[in-house]
Amino acid sequence: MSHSHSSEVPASSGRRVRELLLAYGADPARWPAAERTAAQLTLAQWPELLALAKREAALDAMLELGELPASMKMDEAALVRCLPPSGVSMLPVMTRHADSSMQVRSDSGWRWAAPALAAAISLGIGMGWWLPQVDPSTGVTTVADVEDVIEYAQIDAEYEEFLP
Amino acid sequence: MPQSPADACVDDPDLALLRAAGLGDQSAALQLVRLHAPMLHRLAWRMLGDEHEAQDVVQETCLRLWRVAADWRAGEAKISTWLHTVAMNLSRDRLRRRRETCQVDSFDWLASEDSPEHDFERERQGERVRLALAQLPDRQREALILSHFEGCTQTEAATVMGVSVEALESLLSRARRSLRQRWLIGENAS
Repeated sequence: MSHSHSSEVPASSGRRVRELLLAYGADPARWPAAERTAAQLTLAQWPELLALAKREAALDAMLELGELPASMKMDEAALVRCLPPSGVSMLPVMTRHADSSMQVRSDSGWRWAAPALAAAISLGIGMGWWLPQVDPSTGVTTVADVEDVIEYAQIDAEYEEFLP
Repeated sequence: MPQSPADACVDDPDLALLRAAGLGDQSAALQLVRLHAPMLHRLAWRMLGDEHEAQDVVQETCLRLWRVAADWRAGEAKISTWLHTVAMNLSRDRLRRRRETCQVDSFDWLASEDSPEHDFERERQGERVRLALAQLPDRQREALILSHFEGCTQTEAATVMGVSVEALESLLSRARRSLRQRWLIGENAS
């Protein structure tokens, strides 16, 4: 970057102003407050930066066209829908109570998860051991299993007696 | 709690209203809503391009505020920044869900048919701009919405987006470069 004031303005300041212009545009009001004054002073001394500011101002002007139409705003009814639901107290004690009750519900669900899993596994193993097994070589069930089947048949028979 | 409530009230003008709302003062709640809902609405609308979805986001954001009102810890976050963050996250969630279900982003504000005739050209240009904004990558669009359109400070915008100020500046620069290239605004000045 060549300019007539290179000996008066630190190159780092010029670089920073360039970064500000590219990120925030030409309006100093959008620049970080802490850097604004110094950056404006630097900008005024660098013709190249002024040209860049002009270009960014053109982009800012384009962006302004993208403002949402004024008709696009929340009406009163929509604002009222944002209020706390009536009947719901936000008092600290009540809030904590509500939160803690939700917590208890949540905790109680997880508290039963492990026993439920253990019970399911035990039941699965028990069923596997207890239900009739077929000998893979013969395809015939064992004697004990046949007795089980008879018991099942009796249960079914009893059940059928009560059918209409 | 890093600050006394009195200090926090000085730093955050909304805190007294939130405290009152937390104690059941509906008029304080309404005042807070009036102060912040329009800004949240614009933010969500720009993100989602859909008025009704934007209103849902504002309602959900406010509902979350009421939930934490009583336990609000002064000094940890400005209420306006917190609201921006929640609204932005809710908008992001909706965009993600919309894309997961292969819905096309609607952006209903792109086509405004009721503009007066004498504003037609300006409105047409406005549509061009909004379309270009809608087509920016999400993070770049978020940065531009917060920083340029919503007037957030650098720290606020960076906090809302969960990035450093340097990263915010980088996103803004890339967004602006994209738009410049799209609109063929002279590159020779750089």
